[in-house]
Amino acid sequence: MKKILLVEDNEMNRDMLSRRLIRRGFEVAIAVDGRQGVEMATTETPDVILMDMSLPEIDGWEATRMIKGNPQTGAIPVMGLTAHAMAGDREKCLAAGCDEYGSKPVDFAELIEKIQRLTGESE
Amino acid sequence: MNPDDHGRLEALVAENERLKQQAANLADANVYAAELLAALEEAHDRERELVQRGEELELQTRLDLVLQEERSEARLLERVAEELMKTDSLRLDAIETLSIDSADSGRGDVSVQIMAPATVDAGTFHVPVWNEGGRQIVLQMRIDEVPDRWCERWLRLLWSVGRQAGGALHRLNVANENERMTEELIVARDEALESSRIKSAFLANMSHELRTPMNAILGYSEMLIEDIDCMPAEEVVHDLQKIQSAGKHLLNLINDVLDLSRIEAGKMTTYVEPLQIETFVSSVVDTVQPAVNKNQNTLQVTYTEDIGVIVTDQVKVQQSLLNLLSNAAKFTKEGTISLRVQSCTSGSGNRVQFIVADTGIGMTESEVAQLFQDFVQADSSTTRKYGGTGLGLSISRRFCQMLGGDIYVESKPGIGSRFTIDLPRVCQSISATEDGIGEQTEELLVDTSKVLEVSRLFKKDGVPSILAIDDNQDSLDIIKRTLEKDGFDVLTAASGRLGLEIAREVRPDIITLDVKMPDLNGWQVLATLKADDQLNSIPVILLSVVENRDIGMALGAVDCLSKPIDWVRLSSVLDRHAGVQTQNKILIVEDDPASSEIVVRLLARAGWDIETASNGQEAMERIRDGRPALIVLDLMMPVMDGFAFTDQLRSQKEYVDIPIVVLTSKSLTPEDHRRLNGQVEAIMNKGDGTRQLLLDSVKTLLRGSSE
Repeated sequence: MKKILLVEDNEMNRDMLSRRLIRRGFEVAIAVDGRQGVEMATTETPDVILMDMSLPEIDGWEATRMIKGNPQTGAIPVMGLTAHAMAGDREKCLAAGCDEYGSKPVDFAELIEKIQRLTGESE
Repeated sequence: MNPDDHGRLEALVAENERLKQQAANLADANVYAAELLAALEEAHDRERELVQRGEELELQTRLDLVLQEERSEARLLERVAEELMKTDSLRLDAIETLSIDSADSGRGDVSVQIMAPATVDAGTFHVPVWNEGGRQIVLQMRIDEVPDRWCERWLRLLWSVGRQAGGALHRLNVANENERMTEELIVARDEALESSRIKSAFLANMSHELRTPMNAILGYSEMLIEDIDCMPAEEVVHDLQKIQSAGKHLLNLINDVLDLSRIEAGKMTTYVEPLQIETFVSSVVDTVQPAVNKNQNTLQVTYTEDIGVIVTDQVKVQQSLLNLLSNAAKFTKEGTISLRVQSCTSGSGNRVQFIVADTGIGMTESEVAQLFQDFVQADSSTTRKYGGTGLGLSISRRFCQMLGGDIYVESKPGIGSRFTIDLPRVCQSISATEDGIGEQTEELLVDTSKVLEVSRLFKKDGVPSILAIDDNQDSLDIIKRTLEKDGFDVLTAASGRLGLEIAREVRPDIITLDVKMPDLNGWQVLATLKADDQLNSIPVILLSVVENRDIGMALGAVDCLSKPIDWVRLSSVLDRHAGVQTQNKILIVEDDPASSEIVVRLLARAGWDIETASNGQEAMERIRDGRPALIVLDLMMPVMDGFAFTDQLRSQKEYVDIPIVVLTSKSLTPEDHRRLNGQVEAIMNKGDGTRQLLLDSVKTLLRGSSE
């Protein structure tokens, strides 16, 4: 079972996404801010990280840079998942080190497909 | 004659001859001397002339330099004066003034007045020169003796100097003006860039804020659709509640953004009315009480004694006060929130303050600094932690500013915050469109010239103007407010005398006249108006507490209404006399029956004949049957949409001037705006508050077209 670390501060979105992912057969660990996200990337060693960008404490861009900069967690694929969906936001996300970008509202089917590709599960 | 005598005679003759000869010689010498003298003088004059010419040339060269070099106006004139003084043979002992007058007649012609030497006072003389810029250069000089015959020559030179100085000053002004305009343009460009940057940032934030609740709504509903079979009922309800709450949040966001854009566009109108402060506040407190209780807070309300009445826009103050109180409740836990309402007097008159203080989390200085910016809550995570759209405070503040007041804040982290809504006790109804040209009631009473000036500022093209004469300022305020809402341009006069003056100055289309006034009463004003050839054609409507219809009509009033005023009746009387047709046909083009029905009812109730069409093609047929006075148009329709309809209608000459009001729920793209630009008279979005807006603009447009 693949393990996903969901870093998301909005309670509703956290609840909704985690439940949907669990139903799809993923194990889900949850972090509520950037700092916790960085810590849990080490402790939980997830297969993929879904990272919101506007986060308290440490924002998603910085958290991603920290995760990618740490040899222990640098190899974990990170997918930015954000309501910042204007021109340039995708590039900003990738520049911070994200391997993939998804905008909110989330297209769940597409999200699953991207997660599978990132975790090497896709056919 | 003896020989001696003869001899003497001869000698005398000879002597005479000799003397004659001598006299002739002397005369010759005289002539010669005179010739010599003349030649000498001529040589001297020539020399002086040469000297003068030399000096002229020299002066000219020096002046050329000054005129080219000098960049400051005052200094330029000073240096011209210095150069003139240096010139010996000008014999100027002083140049007292060398000045420019801002003469108002900019005829552009050069009128020069050179006084003949004989008439020159041994004293001061002026050389006035008009320069091209229409400003007068005056060379005013004092000469220490009566000028000689060279004087004229010098005067010509001075004139030429004045002209050159004038030209130089003109060029200088043009250059300075250019520089100033360039600076202004740079500032304007920077402002435009900044405003565009702010707009982009706002749009990006907006997009982010809308997408967040949207994510929850779509996510939960998809989940429900997928899993409805295997979900326990309780969970379904929970998720539905989340969808509902995210939906509400989204709606609040959209409403706030609409409010903001309406304020920005100057479309937000104010409706000012008297409010009993205590009654008003207690209803606000009732509304906010649940939010206060939620965090176990207590709310204390206190007033200064006899707090009385405030004249302001109830809805806007209520929204602002609710915003402050619910913020206080949101950011405070198990604490105290206090609302203090106090009256105070400041330089700007009587004011009422609503002070909301809490013992909540408070804010740092930098957080306070960005508090009123759109979408910026003190901490970017605050929205998520505490809810709210992040627009409430900024909207509240703009509301209060529209009402002549403001919101102030003091805060300390961990101690609490204190917000003050500060409003004038009587709001002078500055609506956003009038932008800062609020009428000052007190000044109206005192300063007639100011009234006339203000009146002119307010006079609008194509809108019937009404002059209301009444000694009671409250009555005037109500008349002004009510009739302006009906689309009239309203001027007010607080006495009969003032009324007559304004009537002569402005020639309003209609006058409403109070009867009981001190000084000059309504009957006297009416009689004066009717006796004046210039004014007797203006219809006068008497408004009176005493019903004295017969006298009024006999004196020449067109109608009499008793107080309290029946506004509906007044409006119809005014419409009749302002030459406004109320029985106009309006065509409503809308494919959605429910939306159509709402507009039909609204406009039918206001007294118009209504026709409907459910798409553009049908509308064209209706128009061919009978031309409507105005069209209310939806954009997204089957068969022929609003854009195509507009294009087709405007391509036909006889229909180009039918006003179109677009009423749509489509959010228009720049391309849409471009297509509609110049083709339609107004564009409105369906939704909150549109009804009044629609009614107002239909009224205004029909007034404009029927004139």
